[in-house]
Amino acid sequence: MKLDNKGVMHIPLLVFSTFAVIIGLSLWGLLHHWKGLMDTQLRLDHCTGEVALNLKSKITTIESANQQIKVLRAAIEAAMAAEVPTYGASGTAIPALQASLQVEVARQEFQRISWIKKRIEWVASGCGEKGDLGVPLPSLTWERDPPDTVGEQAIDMEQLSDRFQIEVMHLPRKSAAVVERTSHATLFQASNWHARWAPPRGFLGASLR
Amino acid sequence: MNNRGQSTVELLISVSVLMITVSGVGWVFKAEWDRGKCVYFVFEKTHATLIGTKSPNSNRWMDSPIDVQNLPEGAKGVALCGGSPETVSLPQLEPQPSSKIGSL
Repeated sequence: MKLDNKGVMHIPLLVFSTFAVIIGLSLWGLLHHWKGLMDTQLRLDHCTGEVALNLKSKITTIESANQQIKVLRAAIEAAMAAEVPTYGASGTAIPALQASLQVEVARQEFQRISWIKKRIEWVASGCGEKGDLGVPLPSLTWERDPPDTVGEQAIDMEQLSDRFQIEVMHLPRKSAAVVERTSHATLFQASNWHARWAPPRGFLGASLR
Repeated sequence: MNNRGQSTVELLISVSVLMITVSGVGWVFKAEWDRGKCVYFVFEKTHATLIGTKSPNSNRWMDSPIDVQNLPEGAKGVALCGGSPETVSLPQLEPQPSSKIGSL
């Protein structure tokens, strides 16, 4: 190699520098990509986890209201059988108990309506960021028997599915959580529900169930 | 000849300075690369354990094994990243029902 001031060294240095910069930028890009994947995964997990806990809270509220309905119905039946005024001269306890019954039914229906609203939002925007795809949320469906002489009836909670899966994707990342029944209701106790992370199934898996 | 000798000395000094600088930058970059890839693969394996799926094969990328424990409160992954331990802890959505009963 000729060592003089004509710039012969510039070419190998330029080749080396270019090579080093390309390798460096590629590796930096890969690190950045991995960091982005982790951030996306954590964001999706946070979002599905929040929705799963929200669903569990709704189901628990519905079950709690259901237990209250059963207790109130028993109290109304007892009051009807006794036909004894328990509110002094102003009347019996039955209208107040029936009003409480209506409140509990309204609590249940409010939970169902707010869940329908959440389902619509979920399909529209997933976790709220562009590119999020929310697998349609499960529905909270039940049929209540028509009111009888006592008043509104409790729901048969066994109509509800034992397992609800919440899932969202922001490709290539996916996140899923399930809310599942861990014990069935007894006469005096509501059933237990548990929320946990789950392997994602995707749109196809969700539609096959 | 004198000019040539001077050029050689200047070249050696320049190349030495350049090599030290490049080595320093390379060392910093490699440390960052080792740590970044290690964190990613520890996160992936820990997350896969948490949700109960298979994690991507990280053997090609990792110099040390990743140790993941599935605990009642979550999954905890540990690996040595360039000599220092990197720990990733991901919590369960809720405490396991059995541990909940135990805590009552």
